[in-house]
Amino acid sequence: MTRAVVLELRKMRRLRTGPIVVLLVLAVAALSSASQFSGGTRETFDDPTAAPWAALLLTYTMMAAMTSPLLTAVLASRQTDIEHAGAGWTLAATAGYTPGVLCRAKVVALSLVLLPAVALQSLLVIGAGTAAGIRVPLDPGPWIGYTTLLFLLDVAFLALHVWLAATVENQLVGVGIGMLGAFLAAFTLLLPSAVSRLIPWGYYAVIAHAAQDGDVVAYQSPSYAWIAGFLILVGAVYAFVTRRLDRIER
Amino acid sequence: MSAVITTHGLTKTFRNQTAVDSLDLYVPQGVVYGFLGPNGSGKSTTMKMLLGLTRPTSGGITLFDRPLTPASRTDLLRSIGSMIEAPPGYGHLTGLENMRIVQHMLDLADTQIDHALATVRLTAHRDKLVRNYSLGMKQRLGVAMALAREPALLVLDEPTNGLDPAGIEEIRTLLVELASEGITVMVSSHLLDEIDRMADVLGILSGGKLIFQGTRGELFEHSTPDLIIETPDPGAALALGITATPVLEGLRLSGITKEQTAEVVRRLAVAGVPIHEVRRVRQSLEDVFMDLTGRGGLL
Ligand SMILES: Nc1ncnc2c1ncn2[C@@H]1O[C@H](COP(=O)(O)OP(=O)(O)OP(=O)(O)O)[C@@H](O)[C@H]1O
Ligand SMILES: [Mg+2]
Repeated sequence: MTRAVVLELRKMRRLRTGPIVVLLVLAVAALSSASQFSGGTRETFDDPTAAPWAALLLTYTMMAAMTSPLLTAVLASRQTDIEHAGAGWTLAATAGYTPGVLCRAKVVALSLVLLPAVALQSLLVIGAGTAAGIRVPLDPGPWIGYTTLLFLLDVAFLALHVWLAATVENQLVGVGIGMLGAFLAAFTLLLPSAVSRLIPWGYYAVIAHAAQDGDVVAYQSPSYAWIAGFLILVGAVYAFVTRRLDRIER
Repeated sequence: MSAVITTHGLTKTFRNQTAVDSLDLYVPQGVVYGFLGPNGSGKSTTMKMLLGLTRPTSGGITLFDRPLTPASRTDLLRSIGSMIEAPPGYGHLTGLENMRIVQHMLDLADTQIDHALATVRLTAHRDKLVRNYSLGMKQRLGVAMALAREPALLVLDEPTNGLDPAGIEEIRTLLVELASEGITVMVSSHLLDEIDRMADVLGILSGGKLIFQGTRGELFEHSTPDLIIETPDPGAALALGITATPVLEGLRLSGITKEQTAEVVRRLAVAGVPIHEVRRVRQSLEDVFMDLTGRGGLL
């Protein structure tokens, strides 16, 4: 498996995976922090009751929900489409790497790229908040919790999209679903979490560690049980479908 | 001669269609085995089964005297280089980077990669992106990927597809060379002409059935070329009740054996019909092939 992951990292060369990720990280960080430099927001910076950090985390959650589904779809599609285009499935199979192994390795390799990217993204948002002049001390708990869950959710959607890209050769399908997912993810932030939990992309809202109640923004604890359940379900389904991929004859 | 590939009643059925029908292949060691058949006759499907990429519906495969099973497959594949249908190659990587992927997959040495690239004469182009390769270069890269593991058996599905005559000749020379080094080469094509001059043994597939297997010479023996009898007086011959078609030089007789030829000539001589020449039509292997596959696969 390690060898298969290293192979995927080798194939990633020139796929512009790195630049795409960096670009999106910068964009999300910039969009999340943009409001920090507006006059109205700045007045809250010294006021602990206004919870400026929670407000920033909520904006960040919104931006991440809007972009992550598409980012994962694009990364997974680029990494998988090369196997269709280059007759890679057969090449790998004759070397003992089944399509299922390839797909699992792709998810791991892409996750390895995404892990530092998501961490950096959160750090950039925090950095922007500090630079804008938020004086209230930062409570790291919700930020670490959110960043971790955001990453795990991205991994889950990478898995979905790698499987989709491997099964449906037309990559417009996967990327289209990613776009639809981005819309759903942003939309579910406005819905009660009882509804969001039933929509896969709704989990980008379910993992929110901050919420707005009227005019007040405050930290909140997401329902970890639902999130864990969702991640375990995705893992189990992925294990099953990639094993099935091994038996598909092309 | 020991066999590298043998199959027994190898069959593959897709839903309602039998793509490969009870094949008994026998590929001896160290030969170039030409696997011929028109489009859709089941060549690729057979080769995929030989590589364990597709599961046979029934029948068995023995490679290097070992039965091919899911358990033995990985081990057996280590000594089989292959290229099925489209040549592999990641377009966004260079030729060398593609070879490095194969190297890493199979844990090969640098020298094996260099040697494979040199064998197909791609060394000069190894730093070019594969998407910018010509079709011939892509085919050669595919062959290099198959050769890198220094296989004992090479299974190539239409490696000359889309090549110009010079490219075909190049592949032909290469395969003959490899066979002379003791590598068994199984190569498919739907054009007999391409295979004719390199194959030691031919297997001809039609509609999923193996309609011929043997040497080129044996193939000729299976067919009887038409007989031409040159005579200025074909009318007199036909009056004797000989079944023939009048042609420019005289008469043309189809499907008659050596004994029948002798009998016809004797009757004409006795009747005093002048005979200037009796000869067989020169038949190309192509004619034989068309004859075989065109007649609905009957021998
Ligand atoms: N996965 C599949 N599902 C259904 N039918 C298939 C499948 N693969 C091949 N076939 C059918 O099996 C038959 C043999 O196909 P195959 O590709 O083996 O032929 P071929 O001899 O390689 O032809 P060509 O010269 O065109 O490459 C065809 O009729 C094809 O439609
Ligand atoms: Mg074919």
